[in-house]
Amino acid sequence: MSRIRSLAALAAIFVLGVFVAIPAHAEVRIDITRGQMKPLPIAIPDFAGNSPQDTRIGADISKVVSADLERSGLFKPVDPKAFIQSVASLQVQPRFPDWKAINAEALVQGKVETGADGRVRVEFRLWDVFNEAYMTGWTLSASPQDWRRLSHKVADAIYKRVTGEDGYFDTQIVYIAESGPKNDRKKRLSIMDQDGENHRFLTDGSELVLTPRFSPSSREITYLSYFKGVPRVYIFNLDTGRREALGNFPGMTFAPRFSPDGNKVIFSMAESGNTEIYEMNLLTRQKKQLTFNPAIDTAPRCHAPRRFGRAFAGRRFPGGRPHLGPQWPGSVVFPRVSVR
Amino acid sequence: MKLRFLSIFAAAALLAACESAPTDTGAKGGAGQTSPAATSGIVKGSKEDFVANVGDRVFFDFDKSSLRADAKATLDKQAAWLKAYPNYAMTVEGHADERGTREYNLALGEKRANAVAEYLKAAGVAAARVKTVSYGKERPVALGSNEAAWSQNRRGVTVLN
Repeated sequence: MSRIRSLAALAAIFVLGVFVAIPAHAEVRIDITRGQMKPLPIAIPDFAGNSPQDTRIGADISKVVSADLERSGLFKPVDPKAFIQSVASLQVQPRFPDWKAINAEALVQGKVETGADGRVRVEFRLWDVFNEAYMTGWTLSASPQDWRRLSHKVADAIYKRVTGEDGYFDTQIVYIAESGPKNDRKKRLSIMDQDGENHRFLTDGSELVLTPRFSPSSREITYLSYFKGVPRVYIFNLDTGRREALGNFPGMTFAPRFSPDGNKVIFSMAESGNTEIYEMNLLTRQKKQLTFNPAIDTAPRCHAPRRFGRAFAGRRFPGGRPHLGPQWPGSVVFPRVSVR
Repeated sequence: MKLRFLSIFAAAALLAACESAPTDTGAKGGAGQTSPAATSGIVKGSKEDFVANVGDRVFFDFDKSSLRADAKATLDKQAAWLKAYPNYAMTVEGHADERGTREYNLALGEKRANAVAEYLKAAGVAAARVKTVSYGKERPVALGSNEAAWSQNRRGVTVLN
């Protein structure tokens, strides 16, 4: 069994967290006595290019892919100084003995080409060195300035093929950048790639901003801003750079989340000392009150998996445990949904 | 290390500033008890007068938005002063200590600001003069993570506009 396949099997076992009993009639019996987390040695030569610009992008892509995979802890990129086969000859055909000789168990072969329209076309293939077999690959094109995203997508594809789990490299992180002393804190809505690159401040720090959340498409962010001193839920569009207040409400609106289809925002509104949860349809602009209770209803764990319903942090019962709204009878396990 | 030193210095400088001239950002303890030394040189009916001689803030118990007896006493004085000087509008800020989620504390701060505003209105301050805002746990005045600091941060502050 190749290491690649065993790593995938191992990952599956970790995910399930159980040892599946092999049926009695099985011919092969595997005793797993302990986990093995030795990272997979992978060779990631520069992606080939025919022009100086393509060659440069190709080299940059291989560096980003290497860094992504290495940081995951499941891969160990082989030092390029050890490579025997050249980038140019790899384009013709991988010479697997050359890669076996340096103990690479997987090999990434890639190419960058700028088309007449100025877009770069990136092609990659993942090879199983020991079985001399093709594992996965694709071709994608994008604007040259999006080469980092393309690199992360290559890393995602490799990660998924080897571990069986979705990669997380083509991911952005939205957060509040805080600076200054605790009693005079400057807070800015900020975004960066998962590897810390492409960092941008989206607000200038002149107003207090809190609790950003991505839309499912990751192209919009909903957050709380004290613009002009009034706390309101806003939506920031990353493509247009525009932001808008979510509706016009008499009280403070806060704690926003998008619904899984991205068409609604669930949030809290506090008015006259009472906080309730509302929902606003972004297409029809209709709002709907979801809770009716003289206690603090906030922090909706919006749209958890169906059987959990919607839940929120509340004080309706002692202890502030999350509770299901009245419209959703049933039991709730702590519905913190993790979205990759 | 240098950074920490700088921030200690900044905090010290801030505290020093508060000692000499109490403002609404000051962490001066107590529910605005008048100290005779602070009254000299303050124009009656000014914002400084309100802060120094009336007390601009009241404090709350943990996770509560009900007004304590000492808070009501302060608010009675505030209402009397505000009725004597009707040219001021005000924003009542509700604050919480650092425990609990940001979102829960935003709601709690709103309850506290509302409790103060309602008390002032009931005591005769015109409703149109009173606005509220909650800062949750985002704007502490005392920096420690202990009851001494928390009790200063669980507050409702009447800020004159």
